[in-house]
Amino acid sequence: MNTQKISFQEIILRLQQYWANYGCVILQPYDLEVGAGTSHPATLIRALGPKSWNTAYVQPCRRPNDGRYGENPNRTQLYYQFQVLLKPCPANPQELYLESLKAIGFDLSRHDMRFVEDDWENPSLGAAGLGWEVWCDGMEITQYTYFQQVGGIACDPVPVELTYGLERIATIVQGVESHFDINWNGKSGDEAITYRDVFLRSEQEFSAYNFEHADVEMLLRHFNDAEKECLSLLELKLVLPSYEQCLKANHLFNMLNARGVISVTERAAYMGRVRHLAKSACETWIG
Amino acid sequence: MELCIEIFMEEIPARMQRQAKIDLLQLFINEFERLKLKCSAPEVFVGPRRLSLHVENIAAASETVLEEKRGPKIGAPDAALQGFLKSSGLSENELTQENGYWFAKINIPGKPLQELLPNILDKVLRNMPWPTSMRWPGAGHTWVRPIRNICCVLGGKSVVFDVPAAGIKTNNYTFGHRFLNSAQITVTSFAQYRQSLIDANVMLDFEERRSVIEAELHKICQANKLTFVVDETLLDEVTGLVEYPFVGLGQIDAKFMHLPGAVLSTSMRVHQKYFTILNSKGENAPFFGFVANVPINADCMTAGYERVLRARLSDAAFFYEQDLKLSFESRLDGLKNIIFHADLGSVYQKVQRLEFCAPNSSVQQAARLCKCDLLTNMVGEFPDLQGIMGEIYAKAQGTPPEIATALKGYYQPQGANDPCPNDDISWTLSLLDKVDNLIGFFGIGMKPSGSKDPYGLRRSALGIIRLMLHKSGSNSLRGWLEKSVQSYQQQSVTLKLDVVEMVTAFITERLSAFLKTEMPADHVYAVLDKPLEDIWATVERARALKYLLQNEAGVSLLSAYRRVVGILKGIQVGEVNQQFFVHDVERTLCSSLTQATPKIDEHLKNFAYKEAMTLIANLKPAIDNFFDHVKVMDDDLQIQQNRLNLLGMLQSTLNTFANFSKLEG
Repeated sequence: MNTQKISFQEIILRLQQYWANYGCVILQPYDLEVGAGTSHPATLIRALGPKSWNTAYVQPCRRPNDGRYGENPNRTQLYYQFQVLLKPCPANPQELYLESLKAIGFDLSRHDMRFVEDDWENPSLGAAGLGWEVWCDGMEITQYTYFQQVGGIACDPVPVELTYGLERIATIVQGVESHFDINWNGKSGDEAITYRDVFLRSEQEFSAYNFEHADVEMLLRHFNDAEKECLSLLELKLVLPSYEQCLKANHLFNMLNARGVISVTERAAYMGRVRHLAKSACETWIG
Repeated sequence: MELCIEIFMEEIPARMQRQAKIDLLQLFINEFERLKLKCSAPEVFVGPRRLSLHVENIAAASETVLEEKRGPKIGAPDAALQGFLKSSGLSENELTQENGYWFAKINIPGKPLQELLPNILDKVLRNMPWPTSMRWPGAGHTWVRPIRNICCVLGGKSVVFDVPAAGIKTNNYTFGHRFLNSAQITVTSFAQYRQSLIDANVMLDFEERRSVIEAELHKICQANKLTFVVDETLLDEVTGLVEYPFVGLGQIDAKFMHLPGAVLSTSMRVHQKYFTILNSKGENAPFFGFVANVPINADCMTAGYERVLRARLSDAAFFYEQDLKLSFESRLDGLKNIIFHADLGSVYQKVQRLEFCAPNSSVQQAARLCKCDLLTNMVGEFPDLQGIMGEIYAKAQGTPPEIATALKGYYQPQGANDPCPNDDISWTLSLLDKVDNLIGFFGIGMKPSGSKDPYGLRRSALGIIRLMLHKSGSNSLRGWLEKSVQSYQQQSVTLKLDVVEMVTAFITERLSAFLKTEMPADHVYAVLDKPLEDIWATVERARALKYLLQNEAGVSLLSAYRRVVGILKGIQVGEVNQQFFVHDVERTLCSSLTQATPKIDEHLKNFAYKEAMTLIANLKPAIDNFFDHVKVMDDDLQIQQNRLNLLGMLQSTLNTFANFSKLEG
C-alpha cells in the first residue's frame, strides 16, 4: 500500500468503515459551531446513562483563538476531528485504536507511537476523564479519554472517547509539512484539490473576523440571549434544544475571548455560566 | 520460594512511576508483615506498562500465631463462660486462669501463601495511593489506568485466582514491548522473566533505562562535539515513556535560531520533551536530543520529530513577533485586569506599591515593568518564562540593560538553593516583592498554617533572609516593613494594626529554622532573644557565638558565666567601689572589664562580632584568677557586696552580646 496516496477524504472514509465494522452508528457532524467533537450531543449527552452506545462521526471544530490568518502550518480556527465513543468501554480499546491507524495506512513499526498522560477536562461542560494524548513521532494525533464524568455527573458505565486530529494524521500519512498541503481528493496534477484550495481564504477571512471585526456588543447580547433561552427551555424539560443554546453560548464566549475583551477574572465567571447551563441540561437529561 | 507478580496495565503517567514503585513496595511489605510471612527483601520494578514485584525467598506459609483471648471473670454466671467456650471453640479444661479471668490461648496455624495471595493482592490494589485514578468497566476498584493482565508465579508455578479490584483472573504470562514484540511470554522464574522481557525489547528497571538514556545522549553529543543540558526532571519523564530507550539527534530549522535560547529550550522541553543541545561555546546549537520507544529511522521518525518542532517554533516565533509589536510598558494598564488577591487588589496595584517603596529611580523603573511580561503571549503559553521574557522584551525595546536584567533577576532566589541576585536593582526589587507579599497576606490574616502555605509566604520569608545575608551589611528590616505598610495605606487597603510585629515574628521563626541548620538550637535562642531588627547582624552574632563556643576558652567562659548567674540569683547589684577591693585579682578583673567594655560596645556597633568575641574570650584569665583566689561571699558584708557588684558588671558585659543564660552546657 502506498501511504503517500491516501487522501484526506479517504482517511475519513476508511475510519468510518473501520468503526462501522466494529459496530458503531456512523453519524454526521452536529450543525452548530462547536469547539470539539465531544460537544456533539451524540457524545456529551449519550455518554450518560446505562444504555450501551457506540458511535463515530466527523466533527468540524471552531476555535476562534487558534486562527493564524492561514500563516501557521498547523493551527487553524476551524479543523476536523474524527470522534469515536464506545460505551461501555471494551476490554481492548488501545488495540482497537492502533488497528484503526493501520487501516488508514500507518506503518506502526516505522513510527514512534506513545501514550502520554493527558487528563482531559472541559470545565465549561463539566466533563472530565483520564487518558492520554497519543503521540506519533512527537506529534499529538489523538486525544484518548476514559470519561469519568459529564455535566458534573459520574459516567456509569465508563465510556472511552477517541478524538482523532484528522489534519495532523493526514500530514503524517501523506508526508507533508503543512495542513494546507494536504491532498484532499486523492487526485494529482490539475485535478488535485488541497486543503489550501478548500480553506485558505476561509482561514484568512475568519481570522480577521474573529480577532478584529466581530461586533463585541452583538456577541455579548447574543450570549445573554442564548443563556436565557437555554434556562427557559430547561424549565420545559426540552433538554436537546436547551443544550443547543448552551453550545451557542459557549461559542459566543470563545468569540469574545478571541476579541480579547474578556479579562482573566471575567473569564472564570463566563465559564461558570456556561458550565451551569451544561450541567443543568445533563441533569435534566438524566432526570 | 520465589514470588513474582506483575501488574500489567495501560500506560502509567511518567511522572507517577518513581513514587508508584516506592508505594507498591511498601504496601506489599506491610501485607507480608501483617500476615507474618517471612521473606527476603522484596523489590519492585516500574515501566510504562507494568509494575513488577519480586521476592526471592518467601515462606510457603505464614507463621503459627498464638492468639490470647480474655474471657469472663472467674465466678461469673455460667452463661457467660458457656458463651466464651462457644466463641473460642475450646472446652473448659483447655482454658487457663490468670488474674481472676478465664483465658483462651489458641494456636492459629499459618496459612499457605497460595491461599493468602488473593487477599494480599486485592488489598494492595485497593490501597495504592495514585495521584489520580479512574474507574473502568469490570473493575471493582479504581486504579491509575485500566489493568489488563496480572501474572502471579509462586515457586515457578502459576497461581490462578480472581482479582475483583481489577475485574480479572491471574495467570502465569505477560507480554513484551507493545510495538516491537508483543507476543505472550510464559513466566517460570524472575530471572527468566527479566531475560525474556529484554529479549522482547522491554528493559524492566527504571534506573537502568534512565542511565542508558543519559549515556546514549552523551555519546551522541560527543560524536558531534556537542553537549546536552542535563535536565533531571526531563530524564525521569522520558524514562517513564519508553519500554526500551532509543536516543536520537534532530535538527532545528535555522530560521528559528534567532529566537532566544530560553524560548527554544522551553518550547522543546515543555511541548516535545526534547533535550536542549549546546555547542562548544555553551550556546544553543541547532539540534535537539530525543528518546524514542522504537529504533529510530531518519526518513520517517526523525523527520517527523523535526516537523513537529517546526510547527511548535513557528508558533513561538509568532508569539515573539506579536509581543515585540506592542511597547512593553504599554501593557501596564492590562495588569488592572489581573487579580493579585481579592482583598489586596490587582497586580497593577501591586506594581504601584512596589514603585512607592522603591528607594531610587532605577528600582522604581524596574518595579514599573516587572509584571508587564505576564501579559505577553509567550508567558501565556509558557508560564515558566516569566521574568526571562521580561528581560528579553524590555532589552529589545531599548530599556537600559541594568533595568532589563532586574526584570528577570528579581525572581531570584526561587528556593533554598537558588542564588541571590548580585546587582542592586534586582536585589532591592526582589526584597520589595517579598515584603509586599508578607505584609499584604499577614495584613489580611492569611497566615500559613501547618502544611498549607498557598501564597508561598515561608518561601518569601526565607528569600528575605537570604537576600539580607547575601548583601552582607547592616540593614533595618523594620524600615522595609513599615514602608510597605504605608504603600498599602496609600491604596486604602486596611491591614491588621500589628502586621509589622506579626511579620517580624514570622521572619524570626524562619530565621530560627534557618540558623538551626548550621548551629545548635541553644545558640539560636541566645541571639534571637531580642526583637529582630537586623537579619544580617543577628546571623553574624550567632556565627560569632558559635565560633566562640567551639573553643576551649569559650566553653570555660560559659561555665564561669553560669557560676556568676548562680551566685547572683535574687541579689541586687550596684556600682563597684574600688576602695573595697582587697585582692589584686579583683582589681585586675575590674580594670579588664572597664577597659574591654567600651571596646566591645564599639565592635558591636561596627558589627565586628568576632573581634568583640575575642575581647570577651580574653577576659577568661582574669575571671579564672578571680574565682581561684577570692571567696565571693566574704564575711565582711561590704567586701562581699562589692564582689557581687563586680560579678554583676561581668554579667552585663557578656549579655550585651547574647543571652548566655539560654545556652546549654
